[in-house]
Amino acid sequence: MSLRTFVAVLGLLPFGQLAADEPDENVDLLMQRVELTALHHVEAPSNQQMVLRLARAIYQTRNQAPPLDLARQVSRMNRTSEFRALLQECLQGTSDSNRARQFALEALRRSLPGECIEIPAKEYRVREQIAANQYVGIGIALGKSDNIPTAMKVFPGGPLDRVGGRDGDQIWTIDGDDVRNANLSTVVDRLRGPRGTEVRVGLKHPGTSVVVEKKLTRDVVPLRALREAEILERRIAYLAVDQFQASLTHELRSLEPALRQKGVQAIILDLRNLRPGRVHDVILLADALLPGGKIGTLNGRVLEASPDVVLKEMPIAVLVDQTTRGSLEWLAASLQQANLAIVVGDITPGEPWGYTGFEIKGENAFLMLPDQQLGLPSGEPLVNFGSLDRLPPQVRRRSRDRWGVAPDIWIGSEMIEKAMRTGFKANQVAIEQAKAALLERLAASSP
Amino acid sequence: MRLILATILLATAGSAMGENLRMPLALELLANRETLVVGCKDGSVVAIDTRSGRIRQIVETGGSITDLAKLSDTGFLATDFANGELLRFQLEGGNLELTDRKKVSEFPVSISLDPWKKRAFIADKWQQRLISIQINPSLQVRATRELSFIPREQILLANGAHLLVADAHGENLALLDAETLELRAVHRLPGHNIRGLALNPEGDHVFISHQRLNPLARTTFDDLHWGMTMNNVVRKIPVSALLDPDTNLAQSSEIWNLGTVGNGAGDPDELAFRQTGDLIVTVAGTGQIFWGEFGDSNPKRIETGARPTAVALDEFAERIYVANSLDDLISVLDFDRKQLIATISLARQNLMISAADRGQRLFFNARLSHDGWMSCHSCHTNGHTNEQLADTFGDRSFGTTKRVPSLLGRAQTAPFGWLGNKPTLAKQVEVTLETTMHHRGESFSRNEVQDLVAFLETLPSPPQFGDSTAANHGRVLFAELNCVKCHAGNTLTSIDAFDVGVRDEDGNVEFNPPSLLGIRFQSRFFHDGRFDSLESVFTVGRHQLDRELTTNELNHLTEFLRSL
Repeated sequence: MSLRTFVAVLGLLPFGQLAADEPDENVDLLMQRVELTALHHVEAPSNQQMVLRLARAIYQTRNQAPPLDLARQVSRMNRTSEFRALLQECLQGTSDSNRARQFALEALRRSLPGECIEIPAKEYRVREQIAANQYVGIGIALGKSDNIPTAMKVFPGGPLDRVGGRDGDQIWTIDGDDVRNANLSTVVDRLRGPRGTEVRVGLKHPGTSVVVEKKLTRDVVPLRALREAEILERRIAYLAVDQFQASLTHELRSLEPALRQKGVQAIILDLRNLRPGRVHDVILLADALLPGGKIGTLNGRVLEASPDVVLKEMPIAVLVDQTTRGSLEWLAASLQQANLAIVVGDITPGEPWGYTGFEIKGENAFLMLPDQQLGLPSGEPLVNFGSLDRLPPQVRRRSRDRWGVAPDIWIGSEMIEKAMRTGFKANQVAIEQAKAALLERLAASSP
Repeated sequence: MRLILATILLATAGSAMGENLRMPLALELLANRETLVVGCKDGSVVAIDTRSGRIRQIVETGGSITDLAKLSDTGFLATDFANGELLRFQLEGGNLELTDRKKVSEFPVSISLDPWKKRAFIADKWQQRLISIQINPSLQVRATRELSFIPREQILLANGAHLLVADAHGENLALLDAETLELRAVHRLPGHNIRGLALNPEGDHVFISHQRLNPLARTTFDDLHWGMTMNNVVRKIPVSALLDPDTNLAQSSEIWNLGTVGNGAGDPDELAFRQTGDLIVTVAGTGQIFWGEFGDSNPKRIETGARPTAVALDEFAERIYVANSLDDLISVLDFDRKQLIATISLARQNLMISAADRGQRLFFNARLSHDGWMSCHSCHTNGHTNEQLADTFGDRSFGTTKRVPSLLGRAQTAPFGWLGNKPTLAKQVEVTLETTMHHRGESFSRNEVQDLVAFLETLPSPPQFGDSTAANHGRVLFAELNCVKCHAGNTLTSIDAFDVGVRDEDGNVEFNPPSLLGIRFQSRFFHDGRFDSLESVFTVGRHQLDRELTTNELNHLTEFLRSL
């Protein structure tokens, strides 16, 4: 199991998942989200618009058309007490106010720009730990083998690795309790804990008959954001990012001498199939790659790169597609506009936001909201950067006139299908195109 | 010997800061390498017999020795910061004698010699000058060049034709014609705290040790941990690039990052080359030397002492001498074994250590920060400022970079912080240790905070210059314009925060007025350094002006401010 799969087991809550006993409490739940959104969302609708959206959705659950003058009523309101009274009144007419509230919040969520999701507090903290590359645990990727919880991968240098744990060790007991039949989330809960705390784990390695109990101290598990560099040809290295983490720039900087020693002269950086990194970490990477000049804008503030760079004078190709979102497409745009990178792949979706989790008080959960507007150096939002004119017409049709970065070299599904018929893997097509472009650039720059 | 010294240092008493520490700052090998001469901040010049490791003689000059330069195998010059003098010493029959002293400047901080030993070059710290001195037959000033920054380190390039002078705090590197002291260029280095300049044995590259504070990074635990906030580097620049006034230093240089995650290398300082090409770097903040080839990802680290800042190499005896300025210790290292083989203590027998002395050791100690990436000195260079912007949590937010303030003469300027949100110096120190340096060691205590405060209280304001007519007119104008409303009293500040029409990224509009003491030694102004000259504060920023200033008034006002 890769780190990505490991991260993917983190749970997400439907918007406003908690059950409330009274309509009053449901109104609290609704208004808390409205207020958080109004306060932090970079493109927040007005409170009136959000309350109107909620009220209409609640009427929908009542199978009733809202009053004809609902919009006018709401537009005249500006006090929280008025919004609350309206929502209270709407909810009172429902047979199941919890369901109505959930439905209404889902309608609100869908209407907001960006991906506004709620995350249980403990998962949010794990996300933050992983983003900072400061994940605390026993250092395993958990899965099941023979229906028993299993350390599918033991991370090097982690607590379990340090006591001799091996990939494939089954977890039979935790602190003396039999967990063979426990579901994975229960096992995760029991294995996690603050740094420095202890947990006893009974392990059985396949092929052996004994369960050996190990006492582990939970600690920071050193993870690598970058996968092992793959030297495609003697002059080009392919760098895949496993997880965009705070350590990425450091890893790249540390890797540079080895790459140069191997004669690497150009880099392919794969930004596909990645959860967007924290904007701040992306800024630091852009700063490290760019030899000065503007990185872009963050909430209107122009960010200037310092003149020192890593991978100096190495041409870069960046691989992007529809999975390259938010801060990552911003990074691609920044490198492209500085003529530092050739962007290869598909158009990106055009989601010019960075996210922060905001605590939903009393609910043990965080609401992720796009609170950072990512802009081009000109100050414009990162939408429709670069022309689609030189790309096939179907790209514009599919884009619905909204995209983030237009690639310099476009890879369409037809190209991928064609290549696959000749024995290429889908993933390889963009890499091969990038490689060809970089070789061309190297040839052009060599004396 | 080190254990004994440590015991002495732990003993506390109430002497004034530094009175009883020698503070070795400079080293030279003489007399066929049999004598190691040590110049100390307390004014003593110590001669050590390198064969026995014993102190042979101590000459008390009554001043403060900041640098040494070897004239011959038996003679050397020394700069005396306290008296503004250049001292000439001679070693005769094993006896060290002060043979000449000459007033050459006010605050000499470093010296270099031309290849023929005919001329010496003195950097004057507070007068911001470079002075050329004729050595023979007697010490005579030949030429003087004003600089736009506080100078410190210097090195001659191109067989003595050019002199490179480094900013003691900020990012400037001035290139002067060594003959005329004519200014050829002022390069901007991406960094600050330039401490070491060295030519490689081939003489075609200059190596510079310095730090780089990234204004885009924050002083969060994450950024500090992953080496994003403060980089400690040695930079390699071709001499040909430095001689080109239009060069882009970042583009033409290579960088050796010192330290790694989990083991930082705060405050790289002195540099020295072995003839083999190995580079020796003292890392003053962590009390180590790094030894390896440029770019070595795993150089040898050797612990030496507190704040190693000077090195002397004996290629024949294959030894390295390192002066540890804050524990009065000379470390002796062996080339082959690459390890410490002896220590020589310079400590006085009745050594007394005050709270301020302990605070000074803490101030220059990068171990106070998470993983040793930086010390207080990294940003507040020698108690002043590194002239950089930093994104700390001192203003209760990130994404709001602020100019690093000087600490010289600021102990009595409460409240502290740009927002004036720390009522006492102790609180300011505490918050910095916690949220900027992420000092989590068990030893972090109230005593440490008190010691740091005691040290900060000893830092005087920079010297004041000029009592000109223009400055006197400016003083009157300063009062007339009611500048004294905010910049009041002896410290030229006040306890309140004021809205002066500027806003930071977090929406803060009220700032505590910074003290104007020593403002002439700043190159940027306002909380975010938006103005790069005092004049532009008024001409562009129109800071608190309700009328236009005439050219004369502007001159008078800025002249007055520069006299503070």
